[in-house]
Amino acid sequence: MAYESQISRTSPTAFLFVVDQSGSMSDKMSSGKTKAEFVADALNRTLMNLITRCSKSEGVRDYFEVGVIGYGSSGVSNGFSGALAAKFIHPVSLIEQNPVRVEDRKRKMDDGAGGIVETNIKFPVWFEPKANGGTPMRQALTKAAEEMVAWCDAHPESYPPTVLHVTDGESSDGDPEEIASHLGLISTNDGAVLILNIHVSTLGNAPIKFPASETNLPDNYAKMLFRMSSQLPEHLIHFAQDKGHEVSVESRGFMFNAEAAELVDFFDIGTRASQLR
Amino acid sequence: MKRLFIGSCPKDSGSPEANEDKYAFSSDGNRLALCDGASESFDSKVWADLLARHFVEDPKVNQDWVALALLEYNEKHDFDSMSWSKQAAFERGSFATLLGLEYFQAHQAVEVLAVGDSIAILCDNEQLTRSWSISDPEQFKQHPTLLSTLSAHNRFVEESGFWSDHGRTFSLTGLNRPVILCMTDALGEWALRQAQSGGSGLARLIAMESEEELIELVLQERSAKRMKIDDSTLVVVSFDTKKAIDGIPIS
Repeated sequence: MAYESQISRTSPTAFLFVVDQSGSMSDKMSSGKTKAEFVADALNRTLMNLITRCSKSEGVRDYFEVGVIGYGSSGVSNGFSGALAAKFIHPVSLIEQNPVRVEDRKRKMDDGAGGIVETNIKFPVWFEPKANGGTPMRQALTKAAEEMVAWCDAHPESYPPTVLHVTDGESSDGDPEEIASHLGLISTNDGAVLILNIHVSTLGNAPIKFPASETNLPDNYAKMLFRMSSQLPEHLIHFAQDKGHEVSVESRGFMFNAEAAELVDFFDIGTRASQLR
Repeated sequence: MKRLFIGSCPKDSGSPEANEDKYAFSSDGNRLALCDGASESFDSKVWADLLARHFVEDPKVNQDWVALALLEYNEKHDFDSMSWSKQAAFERGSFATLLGLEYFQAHQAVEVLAVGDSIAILCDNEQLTRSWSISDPEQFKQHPTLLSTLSAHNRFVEESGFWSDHGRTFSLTGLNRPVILCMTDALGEWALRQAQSGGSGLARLIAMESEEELIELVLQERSAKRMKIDDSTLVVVSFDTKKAIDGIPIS
């Protein structure tokens, strides 16, 4: 059975975020933030959550390795900077030690007596919003495939890596489907790389979440992203269902016309690899 | 209550210190507790240890009992001196099961409290008589309710049905050679599957003589993919049922 390997420090899994940084990502979402700002915020929050899941009183356990590939005006680039710029994929303990900065943010919480209190939290930032130029999606997925081949070769028994691709537009450097199909052939002994795609939009159309077929998708672009997405393994189906999504065994890891809330959910579901130990 | 066996096999044989299963016995030997700290927790080893120790000191688990354990947990951690990731993990909480046994010799009965998926199996003549709180191995797939260092997650303890939902009394009356096996989830699931399929697993666990023997069994079953990789702890206790209420042997 695939996607069953338990995740441990000796057998970690990987998450590779591939983020569209083209000019159209500067469009504003309903929150008033640009798409690029919202994606950066959601990604930083997801990185923080992944690290928190691995943090114990004695330190951070390297259950996960994480990389970020950005693509836009300068082609393909590493989403991490500073001490993390030399490589694309790093263990979470190294990421924990090297945020670009740690911001103090306010958070509203239930005070336990029916009221709301505001508390300060530390919010680390690794990934900055960028939005310019074209959409070299093919080049970005090629880089993702190179990284995944190397990672799977080095971790043959691990739970397979997950590629989470965020985009808002069509590829400007050719057909990405062919590359995505190659990416989906890369595997560990526990299964093929999972490819999850989310299309973010500011048009206000109803989002399409985890579709099971391309029949009702609005256009060829959406259908192509659907075909580029993996079927969800059983535990991710359960996790998505627990979050209230209608998901079947045929569902793919794909959302179309997603807004802010869907993006947060998508990252959360996509990073729920199997059981940690 | 006589201790026949206590042993544990860590999930990671290279890091036995990371074992998050903890147990405790009361000094009079009438109470025992076994707690399994959840992997995705900030300091579940300390939380599990605290819960086990508090239970054998005072088995009347209620909201005040949990609050006292929580106070001790918080005293062990200095939030302000933590890194951002430790602060975030601390706020996410620590979680653990609590399996507590109290033996009432005069009534030939054992009260079993089980919060979460650590289980107690009562056997007589090496046959399963009763199991609490899980009797069907498929139930291990569900998310267990755990005791948390976040008060909001412990509201179930305040509910009026807490003891009826989580507690049972095992009567030993009429049993010939009763033993109770207390196990954390991976081993418990395996033991129930063995019992279900008529395997010799329970007899092997009851006859366990050394921790090395338990580790060998666990590693063998893990590699055969018949046992989940997790900290696996076994406590086996027996009872002298041939004593009358006044403690004088009947025969």
